[in-house]
Amino acid sequence: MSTTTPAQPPAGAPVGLAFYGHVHAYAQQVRAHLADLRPEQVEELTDGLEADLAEAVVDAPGALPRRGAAAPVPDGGPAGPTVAHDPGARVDGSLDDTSLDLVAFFGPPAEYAAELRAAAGLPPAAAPGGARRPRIGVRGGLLVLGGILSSGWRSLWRPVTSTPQWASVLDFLRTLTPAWWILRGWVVATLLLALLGGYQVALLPRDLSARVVVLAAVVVSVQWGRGRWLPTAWLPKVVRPLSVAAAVAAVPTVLYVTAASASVSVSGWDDGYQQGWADASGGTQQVSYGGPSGPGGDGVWVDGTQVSNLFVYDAAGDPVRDVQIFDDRGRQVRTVTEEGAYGPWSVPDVEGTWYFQPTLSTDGRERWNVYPLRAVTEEDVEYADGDGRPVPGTGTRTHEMPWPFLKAPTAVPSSVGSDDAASGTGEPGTGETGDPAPSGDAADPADGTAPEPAPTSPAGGSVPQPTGPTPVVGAIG
Amino acid sequence: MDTTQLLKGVLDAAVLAVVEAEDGYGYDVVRRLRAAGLDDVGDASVYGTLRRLYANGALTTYVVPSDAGPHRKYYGINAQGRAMLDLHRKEWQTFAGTVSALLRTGEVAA
Repeated sequence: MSTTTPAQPPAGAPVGLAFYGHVHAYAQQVRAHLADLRPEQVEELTDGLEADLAEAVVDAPGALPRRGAAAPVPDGGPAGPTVAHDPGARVDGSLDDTSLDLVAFFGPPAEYAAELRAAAGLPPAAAPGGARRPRIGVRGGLLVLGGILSSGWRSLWRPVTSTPQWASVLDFLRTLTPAWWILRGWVVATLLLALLGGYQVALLPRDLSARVVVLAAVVVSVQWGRGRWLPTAWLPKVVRPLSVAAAVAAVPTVLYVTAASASVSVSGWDDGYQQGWADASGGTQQVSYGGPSGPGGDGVWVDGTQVSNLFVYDAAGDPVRDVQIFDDRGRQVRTVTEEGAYGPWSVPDVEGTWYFQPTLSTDGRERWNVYPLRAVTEEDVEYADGDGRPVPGTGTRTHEMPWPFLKAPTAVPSSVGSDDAASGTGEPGTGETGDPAPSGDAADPADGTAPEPAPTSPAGGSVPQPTGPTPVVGAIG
Repeated sequence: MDTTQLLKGVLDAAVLAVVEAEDGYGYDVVRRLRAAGLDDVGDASVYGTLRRLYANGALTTYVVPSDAGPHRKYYGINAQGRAMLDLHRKEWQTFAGTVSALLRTGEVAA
């Protein structure tokens, strides 16, 4: 930080609001003569110009030249027409009486601007011609207006933006500019593909040609950022609003893509795949009203599709009913969650929609982990008084859901040793009398390995015959 | 002799040297250049030079608000600017030595 000169001008200097009004007006006229440059270049060239001008005037050795009101501003530059409508001058009413003749002091704003840009290594403005004059006049006027508005906005933030920390933040952000170029290309291509081509908004589209479009857009965006591939004069003027639009659109687009990739089955890149998979696998899934939950949500999931019902077969491959299933933590395994109990489900191989129903245990509680679950059709359903849950209507019954197979393959468990098999643990499947008592006769080696006799006991003594699926078929019907 | 033409060639070096001595804002640099004897230096030329040196990475900049009026934009030199200034110094010494020798003898071609 320098302490070169005091910020306060010397006493007796013509300092005041009116003075700064004149200085500001002159600076804005200089800016108007730089109107063919990019706005950030103008800002770069003229930021702090008012302070420099003001101090130069204050520092002037002689008396400041003054001029009468009748004398027009001898501005011979291309922005001549804007001077009469210069808002900076209008702010200061004293310009009409006696004014500081800054033009006499600094020279015409056009020359000042030309010197400024030449020293800054920028090309001189295009020669003022009749055709260009009105265009620059309008543009200059707009620039003057914009300059006043933006300088007010900037001065509002000056306490923050003047700190060294802010400068280092800007420096840091500047190094990220190439990343922004890539993001800009991606956002524009992704949104165009989504709006015009009907593509999903995704990190990369699924088919090759769309990926080429995204890649091309990123390359073009980076090249534009580097100042390449901008052959025509009007193109840079298009790029700027396009960039602003892309910056605004980038936020929701990126949020959407991150949200979609965080939860795979929420409408995202693989919607079509998921739908196809669901169709191919028979559409065992909850009919969605409130939006499906994904893997990791409640319920039981197999290969990315939600499980509605479980069907248990014993070691002999025969269906087992009313099986209670717990996980290794002793929790009930529920395919139908609290929420799912309220919703309709579609079931493979059966028409219509179904409402699953729990089994009652002896303590009167509802058990949702007893499989296979039974269900009532949409027509038979009534809604419970208390919680509004769908229950079987009066006079209707729950239906058993169709089993996926009549008989599953016979399992050959390896965990049970031959000693156990030889010791003759009871095998319900072989009992001639249907008695599940473990003290039964020695089982034959093939079937004597069933680990637990218990599962079939609650089944009401209906002992499935190894070779006889017929009763089961009857039960299903 | 038109010193403004001479000045153009050495303005970069002069501005870098002034800023190296101490950080300064636009008009402050102008004033110090004039105080050093470069009376003909133009305000806008100095401002433009400062901007160009900054754009080329030879200077740093920061803004200092002023209670009394518009803010001031200060410039300071950085490592790249010092390296550039060193190069300018060497070139100037060589060039000035050559031209001085030429002018002293008055014999352009022996």
